Amino acid sequence: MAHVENQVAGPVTLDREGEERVWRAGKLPPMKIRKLPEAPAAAHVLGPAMILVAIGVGFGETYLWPRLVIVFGPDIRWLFTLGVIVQTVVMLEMARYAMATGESIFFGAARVWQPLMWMFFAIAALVYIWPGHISAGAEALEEITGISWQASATAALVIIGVMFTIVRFVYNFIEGLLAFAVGVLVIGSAIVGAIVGSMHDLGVTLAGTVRVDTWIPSEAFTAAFFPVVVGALAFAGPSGMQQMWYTLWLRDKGAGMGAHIPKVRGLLHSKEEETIPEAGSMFDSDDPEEMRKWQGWRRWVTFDALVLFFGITMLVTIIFTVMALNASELNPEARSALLEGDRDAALPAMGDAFAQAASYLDTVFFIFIALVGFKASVGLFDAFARGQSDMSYYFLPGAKRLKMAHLYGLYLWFVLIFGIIILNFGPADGPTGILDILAFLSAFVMGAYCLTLAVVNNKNLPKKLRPHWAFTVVLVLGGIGYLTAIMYSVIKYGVSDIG
Amino acid sequence: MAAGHVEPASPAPAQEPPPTPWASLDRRQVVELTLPGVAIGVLTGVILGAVVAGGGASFDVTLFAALTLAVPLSVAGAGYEILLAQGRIPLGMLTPVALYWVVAFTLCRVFQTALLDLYAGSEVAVPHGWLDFLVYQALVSVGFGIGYWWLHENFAPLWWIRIRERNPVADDLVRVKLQAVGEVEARPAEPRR
Repeated sequence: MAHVENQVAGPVTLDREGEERVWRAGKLPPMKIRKLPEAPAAAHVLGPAMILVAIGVGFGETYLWPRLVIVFGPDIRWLFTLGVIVQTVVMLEMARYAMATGESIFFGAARVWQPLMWMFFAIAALVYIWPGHISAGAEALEEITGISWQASATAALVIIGVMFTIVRFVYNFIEGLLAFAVGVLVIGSAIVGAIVGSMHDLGVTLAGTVRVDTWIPSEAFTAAFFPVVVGALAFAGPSGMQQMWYTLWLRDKGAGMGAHIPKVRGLLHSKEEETIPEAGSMFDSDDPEEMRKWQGWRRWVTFDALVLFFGITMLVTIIFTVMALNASELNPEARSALLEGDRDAALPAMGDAFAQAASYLDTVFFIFIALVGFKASVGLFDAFARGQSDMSYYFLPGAKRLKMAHLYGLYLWFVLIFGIIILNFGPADGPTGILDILAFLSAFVMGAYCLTLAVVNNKNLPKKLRPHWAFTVVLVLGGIGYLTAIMYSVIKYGVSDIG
Repeated sequence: MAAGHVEPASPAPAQEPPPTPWASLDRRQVVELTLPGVAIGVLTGVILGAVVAGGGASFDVTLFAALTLAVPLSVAGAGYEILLAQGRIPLGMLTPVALYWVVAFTLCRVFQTALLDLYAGSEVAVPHGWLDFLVYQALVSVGFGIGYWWLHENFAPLWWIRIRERNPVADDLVRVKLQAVGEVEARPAEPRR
């Protein structure tokens, strides 16, 4: 099998005896000391947070949180702010590991304890093979156009598979596609918000975003709504494993030491794949020049985290909350309908609430839900295939006989074909019997990765690159918070379906 | 000419500063530079048109609502592109984009609201008074500004690359962009040991 030489791997550095210098972390192969590339001259060059925003700004911001605001009022929004702050710290810390080593967080977890990585592999396989996102988007499309949701979802899956197979570099393609989707979402939200909202709605939304003294309404502590509150907290920003996959996109973007790892190619271009190193690499943190470059990379990713991730996530959800407030003011029955109603009927109920506020608002709502569903699916199928192929390539015995592009293609087409079968012949969210388990795992994994990340960054990295203690505290408290909330929901109310 | 006659040295012509790329553009080149801003304005009109049409509005209302927003936003978008080409707005920075749209977007919304009221045959008015309207539109405009900046950063460079051979300002903008992105996107291959 002909391998193309890796054109991006930089030279290793040697010690005084002429030996290659390495950084050892755990029992896995050591990381060779290489040069850290220069960070972009301008901090505002868009990074892969764009993709994280594209798949992360979704049902939580456009559906779950507006629904909670209709039911409980805007004062509950401080929980959203809390969730997004934790996710911003998670994002910065995920980036720290990926940029310092060029490794994914999965590889980092394996350096700590390999079964931990296999746990994430198993959770991804269980949670993300179900085409729930695309079916929700397709159902919203059916509300507007009448096109059968099975037909549009199946067509979308085939198109996604073909696109990711024929493109040369998957990352470049997905970045362009999702950039357009996010642009439309942000501009569309702003236009609709400008037309339907008022200063009063915006004022109470912003006040609710930062007021923590309002605590959680007592009505939320019920079997019907506590799981929804937990779910909304988990869906504030990227949910499930999206933050873990962000480390893979950072690597393909060539951020930091990710520059020394080849990009994932589409299946049709697998022959061009470069030799993939057996592990990531590390730069010399005792060299002031290298630390100067590192600070540049940290500035770059901080801009990504604060402006793109935090800014756009807050912006979209504020505008949708303003829309929801407008709907609930004009249609007070919507609140009681949602409070008493079957949670499965929440999507049409939200549509009705918007429709009674203005004739076109239910259409707006369904258009955005359709857009969110389809764009999330594009990102999630790529992410799933990317994560599973990365773990398989490095840790599944015999997998290196295949190229990364082959593994990526295998996982991608497996999940797509499985999705098409399920969409047409089975339950899109997964079998009813294990729905609760899947929802539980989706929230559980967020708590698990917060704690894993805290250990990985404090154990695998040289001291000078480790996180500030305050960030570690946020990670640990965030992890405990997610796990406690989901466990409390299960133990107290016997419900883990948080969707 | 008599030998030995020394002609007074004529003063050397003052060195004129080299013309900026902007100064050398003809009308067609200026127009093609405005395309990204105009396109985002049109896209915004299309989004609004789809929303209004989806709500069951008649064709003429849909068209009117879309055009009254798309046209002023496109003009404002073209204005932004010209300021960018003249170097009066720095490339890629979010804050100047947001500030520009605080003014431009608010004016566009006033224009649209007034025209829609006139089209409906009613008095030009807004629900909570003009001050409330203006402040609210200015605040929401930040969202539009971020969306504009996002699309512009991602897609305008693709257009400049297409026209850079025939447009010196586009070529200049591509150079600046590549300089900023170069370390990430176009990292030179290093020899492998």
